Amino acid sequence: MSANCRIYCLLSLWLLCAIKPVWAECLAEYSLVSEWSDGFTAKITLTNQGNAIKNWQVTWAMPNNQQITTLWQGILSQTGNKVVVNNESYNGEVAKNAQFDFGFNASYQTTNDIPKKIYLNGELCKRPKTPRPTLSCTASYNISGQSDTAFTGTVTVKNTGSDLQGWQISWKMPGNQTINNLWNGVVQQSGQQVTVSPAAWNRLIANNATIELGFSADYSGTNATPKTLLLNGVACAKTSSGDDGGNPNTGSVPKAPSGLAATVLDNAQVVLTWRDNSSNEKSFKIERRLSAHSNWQALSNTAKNISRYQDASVDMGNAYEYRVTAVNDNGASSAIAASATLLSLVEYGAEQYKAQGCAACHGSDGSGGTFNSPLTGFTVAELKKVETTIKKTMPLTSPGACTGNCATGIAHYLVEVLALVGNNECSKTKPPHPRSLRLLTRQEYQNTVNDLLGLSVSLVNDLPQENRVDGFDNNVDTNQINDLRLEAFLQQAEKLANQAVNDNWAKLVSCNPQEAVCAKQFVTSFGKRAYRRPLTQTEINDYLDLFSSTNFKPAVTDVITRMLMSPHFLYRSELGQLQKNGSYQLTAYEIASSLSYLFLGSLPDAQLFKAADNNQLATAEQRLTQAKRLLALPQSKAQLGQFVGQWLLSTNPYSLPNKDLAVYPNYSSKVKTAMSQEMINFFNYVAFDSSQSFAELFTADYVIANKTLADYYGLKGPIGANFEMTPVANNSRFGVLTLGAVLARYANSNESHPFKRGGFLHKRLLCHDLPLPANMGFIVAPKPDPNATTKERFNIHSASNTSCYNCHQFLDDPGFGFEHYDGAGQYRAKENGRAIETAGILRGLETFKADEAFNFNDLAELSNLLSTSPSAAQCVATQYYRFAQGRRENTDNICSMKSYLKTYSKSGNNLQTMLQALVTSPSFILRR
Amino acid sequence: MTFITRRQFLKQTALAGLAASGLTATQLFAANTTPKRRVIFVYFPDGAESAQWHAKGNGKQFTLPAMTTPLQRIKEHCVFLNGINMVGSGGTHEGGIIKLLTGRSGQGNDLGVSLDYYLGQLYKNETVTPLLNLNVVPIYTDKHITYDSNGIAVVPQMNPLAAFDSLFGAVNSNQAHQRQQISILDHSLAELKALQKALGSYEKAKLDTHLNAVRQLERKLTAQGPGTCGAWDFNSTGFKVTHTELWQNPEFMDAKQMALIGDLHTDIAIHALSCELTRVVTLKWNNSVNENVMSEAGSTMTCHGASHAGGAEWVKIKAWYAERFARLIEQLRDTPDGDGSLLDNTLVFLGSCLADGALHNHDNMPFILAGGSAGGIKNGICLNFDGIPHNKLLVSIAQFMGVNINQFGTQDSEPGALNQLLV
Repeated sequence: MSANCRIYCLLSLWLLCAIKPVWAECLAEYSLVSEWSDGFTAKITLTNQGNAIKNWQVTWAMPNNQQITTLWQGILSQTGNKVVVNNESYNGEVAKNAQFDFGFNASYQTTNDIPKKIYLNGELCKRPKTPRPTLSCTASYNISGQSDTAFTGTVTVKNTGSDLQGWQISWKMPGNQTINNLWNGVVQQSGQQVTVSPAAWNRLIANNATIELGFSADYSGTNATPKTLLLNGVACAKTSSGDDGGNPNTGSVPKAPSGLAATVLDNAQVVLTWRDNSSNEKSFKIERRLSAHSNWQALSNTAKNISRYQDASVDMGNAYEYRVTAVNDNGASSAIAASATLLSLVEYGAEQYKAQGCAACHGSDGSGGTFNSPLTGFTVAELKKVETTIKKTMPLTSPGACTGNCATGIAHYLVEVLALVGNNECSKTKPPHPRSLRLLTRQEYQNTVNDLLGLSVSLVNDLPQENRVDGFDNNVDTNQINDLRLEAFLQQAEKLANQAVNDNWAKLVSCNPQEAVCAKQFVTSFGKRAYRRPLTQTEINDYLDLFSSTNFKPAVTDVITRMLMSPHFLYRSELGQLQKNGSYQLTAYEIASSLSYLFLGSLPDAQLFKAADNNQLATAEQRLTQAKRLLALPQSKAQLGQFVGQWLLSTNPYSLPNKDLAVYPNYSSKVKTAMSQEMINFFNYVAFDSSQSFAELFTADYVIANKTLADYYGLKGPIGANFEMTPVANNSRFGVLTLGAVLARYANSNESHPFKRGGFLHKRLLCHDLPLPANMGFIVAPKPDPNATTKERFNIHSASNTSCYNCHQFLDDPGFGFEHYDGAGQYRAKENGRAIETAGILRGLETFKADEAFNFNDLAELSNLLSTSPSAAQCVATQYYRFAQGRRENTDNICSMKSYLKTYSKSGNNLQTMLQALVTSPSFILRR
Repeated sequence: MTFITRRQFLKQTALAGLAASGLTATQLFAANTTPKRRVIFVYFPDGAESAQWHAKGNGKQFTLPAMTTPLQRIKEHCVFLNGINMVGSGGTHEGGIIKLLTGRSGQGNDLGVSLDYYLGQLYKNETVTPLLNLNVVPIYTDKHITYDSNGIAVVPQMNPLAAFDSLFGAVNSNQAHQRQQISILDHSLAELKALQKALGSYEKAKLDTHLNAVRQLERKLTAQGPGTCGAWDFNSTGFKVTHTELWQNPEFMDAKQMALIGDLHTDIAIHALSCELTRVVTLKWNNSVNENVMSEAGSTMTCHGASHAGGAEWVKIKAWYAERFARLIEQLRDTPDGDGSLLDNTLVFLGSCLADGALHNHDNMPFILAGGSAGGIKNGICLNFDGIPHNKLLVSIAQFMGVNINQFGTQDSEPGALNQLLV
């Protein structure tokens, strides 16, 4: 409210106040900067004619479903058609008579109208008086081809006056001429009067810009040219035309062809057919353009009497327009046009899946259908195989009917769409993962700042620990920036920025700071790596401001510090962009980060950035190629170690417990570290260097050890600090169950702990969720006894005590199976001089039900059972899924996870497939 | 009217060189301010052994068994509590840590804020650090007792040197640096707000937490000279943290230096409370299922191992913890505050995840209170209850802190306070 009005109100003249139109002391100018078929750029400039303001808020209602997509120099919120823009922190203050502006991009439907009322801080602004535009123009009208009854023409109008937002070109046809088609504008003809208004994309016509209209028309009599062309009602000066020699009004150009049809063949070629209406043509001229593009491109001049042309130079996913004219030495006939659209390969596959009747036997979602023959487990690696099968054998009723793009398209549809779906529920649900901001873990933060700043600092222990969930440190929901983390990040940001500037200046700033562009160059290139995406113009400007008040070097330090504290650095964004169907798709840069953090635990490398720049991460194959490349890099081994450690130990891979050294004198810190490394190296060896198969994790007849560990295990082979593949002849070690790290982790400090080991087997290896023990309070753990084995002491849960036995029947026997390994992971033939009993029953291996029982004699047999167990094989992939997604499976993503598991089990539980299959699924890039 | 806050006053006197005069901060303004109520939540791992821990007797007449013998010398400041249970379905260690300060079962959706976080948030505008959340040498770092308003675990500070820097470090007295930090945080705040605006309801809770943290840190930096407690001889033995690699155990996780690290944390806590940099402290010793070998307690066993084995080792270990508690109480008693001591104005709650470590139960929890006499807490007594839910105890603590609630958590079917605690 203005000051005057406020006084009225104070005088209780509220009625007067309410009915008096409130004009703020402001001017608002809304100008279109550019415009295209469904979008535009606009700028709003406001002049504050009232008192100085500290903050501003500009509001208006958008007409015609206009939706702002990005806005700069202000903070946007749009609800429905209501738009509210608040100032940024730096541009809130506006003095009296000062101006401020902001700009935005927006989409529109139907017409791009301009909002009528714009409010500043709630009050309506006046429109500035715009100077009356000067209107002047030059124009020409040319007949480019003519037959006995039809012709083609062009009208060229150059705006020599002021910029125009919207235009109208009009003329009067001098004879009996009727336009039947016009491009680059919308035509209306009423009698002789022709009026052309803009097409969707060419409403703005700047000073000295030119509009070219093309049209085809019928005529009778003489085809004379109009005398005057008008732009917005003002007559244009005539342009001298000297190019086409004027009007070939001789009657000897060929008659135009008719009936042009454009047919798409197997989504690979376009066939044009037309009727030849003339007898004097020399050839037919074939032209093509992408729909909504203005430039026609000549494809071919055929021989005479031809009425078919096949265009094989088309690309999938494009819509084309064709036109054909008959030509001879006297000129060209009018043109006839047709259009053709090629689907994307997957869309074509989806169409053909229906068209070929695949759904009848396999189900509309590929889940099996009446033949119970599901098509949902195929991987990218099987594309060729699937394609060949389709070509040679499908459809069953007429093999060979679907080859070429039909077969390729369906194969891609199966792999890229139906493989995600997996079963009926999936196809109906939204994308499995929500839009997320994922806080960097300490290890990811360390890797990232080292790669970003060219440092090699270790700082994980300077940052607060993660909120671990299900054993994994990267939970999306629980890892948040609270007081403690924020302060630690600030401390690190300042320290790291200084260190980088002092130690690594030349690498950080490659330009000469004396040059004016250097600041921008640094902010743009460094910022892109820090934010893992190009900075917006606003962001660049914000950072450039820092250079105006201080010297170059401190400004660079300041920029780095601020970027390290930015939410765009501390979280990796999996937010995506809104799609037409209401889901969100990750941007190319977000995909690059998702790949890079999954496989390397750090920011994208140069090749990933390049792929993102070129938008080459959207397809499954592109992502798979990158995944394979990243997995071949040495850093991927350490990152995989993070998974393995957290999977098996429920904590970081190096966090092994202390022991009572009186009981385990050999359990040195060197041995502990070697055990952690063995665990990581073993998994990497199986997954990369050996069979790649899950089973080997439980059947390996070797260990990966250095001398320290081999000595500790009582094995011979390695001679130094390096880890080597070391054969185990006596079958005392056979993979995961006998890893020192696992055995020491699941034990007490002074004794083994059968229940912890049994719990480990169910929880970590079979993904069985065991309930916590109830609050009972009457069972006391057995006291140490130098004359008994651990099993003899701990075998206390009898079947008669159901409240304990219900759970312990699952844990106890497998736990006792480990008893040849003491609490620090060393093998023992006997305990306290007594024989060790390891035989027992494993219950619930596949079903987690007690009546499913397998007998085993020792841990090696138990390990063998696991090596062939589908549940165990699925569990490691389930754990990898949890690690990769940063959350446990739930009702929203269970479908996607099952489909992933299916892919992996179809590969024969191949660990490379386990690592790679996540990235080829559409769920990798879609969010809800 | 000219009003001078304690901390402004402190800052000015420090600038004038009075801090060097030998007067302590509290003596300087003791006469004309009313001391605020404060609270410390102390956590010991793995329960105790009932017969060896709980006071025997009633009222002023009681004796202390072996595990609590070290408390003999400060028993006139304590309230020994018998017969208080933690009710609810969450069992064993993992259930106990959630129940302890939330008063909730910890199962299903019954998760929520813990009392320490809750009280910190209530008084956050009156302090620099809403909750000073300290952890002495944990080994598993996923067993927390503090939960935020969404029931998400709040990771405590494990490194005493970082805790010291945060409250008393050099940055707190360098105003130019503070302004620079505020400017950095402003930048981040603007980005956060824009991001939250763009995201609407997506990731709202996460960004709210982040925004609150930024505002809190800005408040701390804008507050008049944080850390004007006056210099004292912190870390006189020169404890250092040099292990920064993931595969190294950092020194503040070194089980052989638990006493020293605990002393450093305690020292920070007492100064922070005394200068009103915070009103709520959580001092968590190790973690539930403490597998650290307790060599400083003279045992070769781990705390958790001994809790199951019982016997002399277990007594030794628990008595060692009790000794740490006795020293804390003595330090509070010896720190002047207002017209009395810091202990008079501070209620100290000692709790654990289990009642009996070997039985893994939650009945007859080993709870002890100390201090708080200025708030009417009756000291030097033993109280016996008949299995009441500990929610009442949490309510009493909140009421001591001036919060007028009658219910905390979800497990007390007849909500209320423990009025027997009051004089």
